[in-house]
Amino acid sequence: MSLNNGLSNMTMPDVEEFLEFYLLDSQEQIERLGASILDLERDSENIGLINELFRSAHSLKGASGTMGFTAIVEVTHAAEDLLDKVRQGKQPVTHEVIDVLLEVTDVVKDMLAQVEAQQPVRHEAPDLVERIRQLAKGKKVEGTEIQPIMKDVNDEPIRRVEFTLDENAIQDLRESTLCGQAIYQITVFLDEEALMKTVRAVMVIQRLQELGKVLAVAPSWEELELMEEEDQQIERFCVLLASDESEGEIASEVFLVSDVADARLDVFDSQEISQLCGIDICAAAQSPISAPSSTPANSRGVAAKTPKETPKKPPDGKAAKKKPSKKKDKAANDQADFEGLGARDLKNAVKTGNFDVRADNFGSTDAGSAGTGSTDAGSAGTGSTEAGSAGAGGAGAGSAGAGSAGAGGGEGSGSGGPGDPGGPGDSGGPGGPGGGRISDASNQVHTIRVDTDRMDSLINMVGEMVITRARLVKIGDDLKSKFPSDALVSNLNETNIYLGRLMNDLQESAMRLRMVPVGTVFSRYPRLVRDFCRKTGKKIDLELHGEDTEMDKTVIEQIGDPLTHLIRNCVDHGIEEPKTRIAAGKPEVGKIILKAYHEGNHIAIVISDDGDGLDLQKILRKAVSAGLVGENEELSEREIANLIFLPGFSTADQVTDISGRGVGMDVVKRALSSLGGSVDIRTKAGEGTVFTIRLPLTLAIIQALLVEICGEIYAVPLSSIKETLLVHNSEVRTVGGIKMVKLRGDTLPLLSLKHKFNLPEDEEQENVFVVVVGIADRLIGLMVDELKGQQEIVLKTLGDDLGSLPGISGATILGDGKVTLILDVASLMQDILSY
Amino acid sequence: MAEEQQLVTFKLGTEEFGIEIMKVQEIIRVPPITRVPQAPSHIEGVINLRGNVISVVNLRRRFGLPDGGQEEDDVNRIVVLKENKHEFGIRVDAVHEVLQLQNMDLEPPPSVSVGIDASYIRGIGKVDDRLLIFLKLDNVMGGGAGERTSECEFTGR
Repeated sequence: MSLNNGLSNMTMPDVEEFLEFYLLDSQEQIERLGASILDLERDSENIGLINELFRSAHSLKGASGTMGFTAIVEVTHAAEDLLDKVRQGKQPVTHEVIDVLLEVTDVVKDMLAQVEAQQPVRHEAPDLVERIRQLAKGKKVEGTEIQPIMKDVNDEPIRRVEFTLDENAIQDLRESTLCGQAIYQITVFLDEEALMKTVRAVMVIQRLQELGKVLAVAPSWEELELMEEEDQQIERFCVLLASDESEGEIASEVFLVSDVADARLDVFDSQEISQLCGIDICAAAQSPISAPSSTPANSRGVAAKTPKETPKKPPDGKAAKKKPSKKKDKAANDQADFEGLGARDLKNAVKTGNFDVRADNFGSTDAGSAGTGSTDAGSAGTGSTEAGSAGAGGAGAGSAGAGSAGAGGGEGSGSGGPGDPGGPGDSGGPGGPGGGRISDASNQVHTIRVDTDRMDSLINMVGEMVITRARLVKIGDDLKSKFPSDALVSNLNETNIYLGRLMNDLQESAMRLRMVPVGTVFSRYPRLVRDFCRKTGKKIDLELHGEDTEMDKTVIEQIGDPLTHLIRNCVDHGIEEPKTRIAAGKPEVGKIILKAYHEGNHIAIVISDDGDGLDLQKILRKAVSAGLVGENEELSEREIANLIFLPGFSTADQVTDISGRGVGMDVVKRALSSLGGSVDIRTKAGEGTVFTIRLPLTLAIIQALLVEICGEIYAVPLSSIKETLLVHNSEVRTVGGIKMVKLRGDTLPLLSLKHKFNLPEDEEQENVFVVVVGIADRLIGLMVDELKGQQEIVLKTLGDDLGSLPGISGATILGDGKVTLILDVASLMQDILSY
Repeated sequence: MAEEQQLVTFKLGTEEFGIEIMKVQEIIRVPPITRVPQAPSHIEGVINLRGNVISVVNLRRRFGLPDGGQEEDDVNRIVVLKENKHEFGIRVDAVHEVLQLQNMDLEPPPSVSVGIDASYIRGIGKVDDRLLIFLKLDNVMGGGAGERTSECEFTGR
């Protein structure tokens, strides 16, 4: 491939700069590749998917080649070849193919990691390339019956396409060849289900025009148009292009157009070019170039024709104004028929010199927009409003007269196309959107990549601002109590309130920057499950739901491992062997559902399997024998199930490669609670197990209630607070050493924070404030001295030294600059509920 | 061939201590310290250092020195240290001076206990007549006294 060698040996000064983009892009590409490969395994007939894979591999190869990572190029190239075979139906999608492709993604991922670590890229699996080649070759030699997956369009000899080259094109062809440009024949296959195929064709050609010189198109423009009018569909078309760009560049550009199912590139050698021209290039080079004479002559043709049409137009417009029915409809219909082609055609018309046909179209397009778009038909002539946009181009071409200006006019009308929707949109609907889409496709910038460090510093600053605002509010309040009737103070407070609103919006937008769809984590599990199934012979189907549920980036980064562990547990212990399943009257294929959804201020992630369920008796026995539970303790099913989260607990009799070492579930629980989340199990023997994980939406800024305990202030996350109570001392009972209070018929266990935190306990007050906190449906009350109000707080970690203190999840800084600790409700609850 | 080292010296009770100057990020007055319940006893609490929460080690408690009547006065300081990108403060009675010390002046910690766990001491320096205890920072914050068990790694298996 032409990409591989050129740049790799060159030392590029800017490589560093591009490296980052390359890495980001390639890593994304490889993730997508991995996911698509798994899809392909399930749906091996899906041509679109195969093409997508091919494209991914191709652009990965191209990018790696540009950056000079030949090792990656080698692997991806081999994979691309294999995929090409698959694409052409010469290679069935077998397990081996999938395996080898997955291995490619792994190897490339490793190599990209090496690139990232700025290490020399080593071949992780030197024999992989050879194996791929064997696979690609070997199968064919064996002569395995391969059913063609797709119509074998690709095998048709493409060279045979006859381009009708007019004089201009031949001239261009000669010039390009002399300039050393390569001549490509690009055969584009459009998706069978694509609507408006001609429009797609135009889009493709337009993109190609940006890369080089489009010399000819087959079928020709007239034929294309005819097909469109007669409602025939084109499946494929060929373009003859002269360009400096590499094959890969051109291919990727073509694939940017939607509905392009496939594209083939062929480079012409000089002999073929000669044939094409009908003249020997070398000879042609010597003969005087006739271009200067021919081009202006033809262009003048445009100039001559167009004015002829233009004068007709204003009357048309007026007629349409007076008698809107006939003319307008016809014009509108005309435009609809062209589906935005008219304007495009003009540009090509100028190039190829088929002016008679063009000029007609042109005129009717103008009439269409002039008639429908505006009350002032004359404006078409002056080119002021959208009605005139296409007309303006025509007028420009007409008045300027010269060849080059004619092309410019064509350009102008091209850009006028998208402007049309305002005019004919109501009557000539298809025309408008068609035109609009063409221009949209060329300048899509929907996302930008931002370094996470930059984003985090932005969010930090927003956090600091939130704190400072809280301080301002405090000052405002102090002033208010000091000068209650001062207008300036009221002004300040009003401004404070407004600032608060702005800050809320700013904060929300900033936080949203950090939100990432949970699918980025989920996407790794299909592979995990698949590999496991291949290894053990179990049959498991993993279903993903709610992948676009968004969560804070930090949470996303950290839930990966706990989730992996839970899923491993499901596949290893949950789902039974196929035989066992059949014997139990269940479907042979086990099912694991991984689902994410919003639940109030939390995100819930549910992992459920339809396996055997937990053996509660066994868990209890193990727990008792390990001394984790007293022998005579009465535990509910749910409590028993949750025993597996205790450190060092494992029921597996055998340690397998997948899971069962007894470290794990407790780590899962710890990892989740360090994120402010919780996990719960429900299980039913023979029917399966459901793990429910609840995680906070965001970690950076939260609403909190400030409480005072022994003169010190603590913050309780508002998301876990259900209500606050003022309880009289006499209502507090002590049951089994735990203080309780009745809350609407239920007993609410109380936790004295003073006791918990070893603070001096003064004599009993008459009334105590109780903050009722809970996660899911379990509630406890925290006894505090005073409630200090609600405030937004910015979460800060306590650092490694104090990272895992029971009862404290972090710290924040209040308006007065003092550090305040945030209570960890989940761990406090655990404390009291495990009694 | 004497390698020169700059030390920040500070007082704690009657002893004088030294820390490499490159580890010292800044020296601040003692701000309000927030006590952290259930934290190791040598951690006095946390403070706000320009928006970052950092913990403060009470060196007296860390070294098992008597609390010394908690002579809170104007000369008390917090020395903010940075070790392996990890910021923390140590509370000292008073910061003394910046001292240049030749490496050869440094003697290994005495085998006889000086009332401080020897694992916190890198050596004893002699400056004129004074004796300077050169601190080993890595152990001051955590780990050293062995109260933190290494966290169980997430093996996932």
